[in-house]
Amino acid sequence: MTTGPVRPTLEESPSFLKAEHISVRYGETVALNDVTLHIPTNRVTVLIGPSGCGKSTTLRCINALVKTSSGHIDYGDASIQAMSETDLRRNMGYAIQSVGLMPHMTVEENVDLVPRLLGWKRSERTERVSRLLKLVRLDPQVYRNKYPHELSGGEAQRVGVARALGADPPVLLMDEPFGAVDPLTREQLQDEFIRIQRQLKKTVVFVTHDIDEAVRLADYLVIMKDGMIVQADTPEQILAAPANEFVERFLGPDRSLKRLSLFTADHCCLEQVVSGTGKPSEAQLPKGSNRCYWQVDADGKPIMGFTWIHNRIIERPITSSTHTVQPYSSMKECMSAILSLGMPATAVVDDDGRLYGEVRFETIQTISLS
Amino acid sequence: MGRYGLKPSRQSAFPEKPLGSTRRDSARSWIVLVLIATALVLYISSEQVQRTILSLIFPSETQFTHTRKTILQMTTAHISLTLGATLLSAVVGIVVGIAVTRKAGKDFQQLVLRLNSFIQTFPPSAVIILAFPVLGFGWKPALLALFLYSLFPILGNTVVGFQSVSPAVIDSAKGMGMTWFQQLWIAEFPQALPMIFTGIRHSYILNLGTAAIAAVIGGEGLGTIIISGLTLRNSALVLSGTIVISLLAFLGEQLFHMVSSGR
Ligand SMILES: Nc1ncnc2c1ncn2[C@@H]1O[C@H](COP(=O)(O)OP(=O)(O)OP(=O)(O)O)[C@@H](O)[C@H]1O
Ligand SMILES: [Mg+2]
Repeated sequence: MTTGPVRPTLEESPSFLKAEHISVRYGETVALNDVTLHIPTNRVTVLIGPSGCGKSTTLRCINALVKTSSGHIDYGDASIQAMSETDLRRNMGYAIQSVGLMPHMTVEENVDLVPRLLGWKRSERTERVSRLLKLVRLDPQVYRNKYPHELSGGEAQRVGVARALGADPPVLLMDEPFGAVDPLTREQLQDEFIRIQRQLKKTVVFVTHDIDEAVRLADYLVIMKDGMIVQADTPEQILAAPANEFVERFLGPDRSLKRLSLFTADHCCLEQVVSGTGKPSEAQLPKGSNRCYWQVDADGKPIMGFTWIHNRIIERPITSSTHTVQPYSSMKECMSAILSLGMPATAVVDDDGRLYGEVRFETIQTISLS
Repeated sequence: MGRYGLKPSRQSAFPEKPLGSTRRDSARSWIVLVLIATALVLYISSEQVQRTILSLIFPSETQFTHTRKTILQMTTAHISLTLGATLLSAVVGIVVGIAVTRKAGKDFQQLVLRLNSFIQTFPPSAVIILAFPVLGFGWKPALLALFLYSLFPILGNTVVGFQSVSPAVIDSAKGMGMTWFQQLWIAEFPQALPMIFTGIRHSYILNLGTAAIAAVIGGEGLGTIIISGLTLRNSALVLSGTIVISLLAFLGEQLFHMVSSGR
């Protein structure tokens, strides 16, 4: 049984993008105060913190839109001050907070802009625009020829993301890219983001206000306040050990549950199961009120759960999909299934609904204490 | 790159055209244009036509044409003066307008805008009369006076047009790695274009009228016949010049309208 973090550790991702002791001042305002941040390569770094804490400023320092008052940022071997701004920025897709689509260009022309500036072939580009629009869940047929003023806020934002991805840059800077999108689409976009990121392995710096989004997407979570970094670590580590009260408050009262959402059923706790096609005899049912017996039908699908409670056998019919979980369900969902079934464990089923294993309450307890 | 820069915008200052009626509107615009142009050509090319029309309105008048110059000559001079001044102001106005909306030239922006509203308060006749002692007599001083006077609508509108480009757009243009020139040409210019265009149109109409007054300092336009009409108390001559100027104004308006709505 492994209870360690699901995601790859950050040690394997040496950084080629490093901010060393950077400070930014706008007149009297100190927007960034001695920030040192090493962006892990091929990983998602999420910046989060209250409004005005300097998240956007950090992003804009990275692509040299904002000049640092002190400190320096290195990209590869060179300081970005020494590089041509144009070259630097063409290596970094930037989805800006206020979207900033060209109002006189159609959606297609907007998404096509960077590939076009880079001189890609037309045939290549047309196809790419369609792919990118589909990726952000916009139907190319419908949206291609629309102008930005004909789009809703959320649609415009997604076009902005497609545009940032345009020329397939190795680094992506995304400033609240899903901020104006409805929760359902946002979740789909996050799924899509995670899926693409697993394939493409870009170096992403992502700004958000939404702690759930942050925990979900981050390999490296950076919590900022008043132009400084309060804590920067893997989300697991931060949820397990918030550095101070501010971080703890920021994570919210349900941080233990949030932490559970980082683990999936198959990685942590597939236990050996006791099952059979009939009802269990007293001898068949494992001893103790922390174990279960699962009755399965001819196809191997669980239909009934049994356990001991106060020396009596308790049975619970499995009637809904919320009573079972799948191997890739999060521990949070396992917890919910355990509670809704009213048993000390929940059955894990495979894609065909066949019994595959179980997740016990006591295991979840162990994890949340670890 | 040209395609990006020059495509007329469907946004802002250009009136939105209702869907579906584009074709019919386009046909109508062309018909109007051809009608105005035909009327103009007919009128300026034939003294017979001028005489017929003017005698209908002023039957008691005997003289319908200028003694030394034909309407055609005066019209040619008038158009040259107007277009020349407008073109000059457009080139200078746009270049200076761009310069003062760049980072380096920002300091002069307020000065330009203030000068603009100040010059707008001058009536055209005052401009010409003030120009005379300074610039002298002839078509060159007239051109210079017209140019200086019509520069400011274009300059002012260029500045306002570039100012109206949203900071987010400039930011994203920079953020995607556009060079200085690409940012200007691809991102900003097309958005400022409707305002600039309005400025040029305004300045053309302004020049058309001021060029008539310029006859007093030797600008050889249609003002010549109007002024001799006024001195001779011959309203037919005044009307004759006015007809041509009006037709030129209509023609210009129609052309600007058609270009700006992309027909
Ligand atoms: N161009 C500017 N001129 C002056 N002050 C600025 C400028 N841009 C940002 N600031 C200030 O710098 C601080 C950090 O701003 P920043 O945009 O980085 O915040 P943020 O964390 O992105 O906030 P939000 O979550 O609201 O987007 C703020 O106090 C802001 O007022
Ligand atoms: Mg921000």
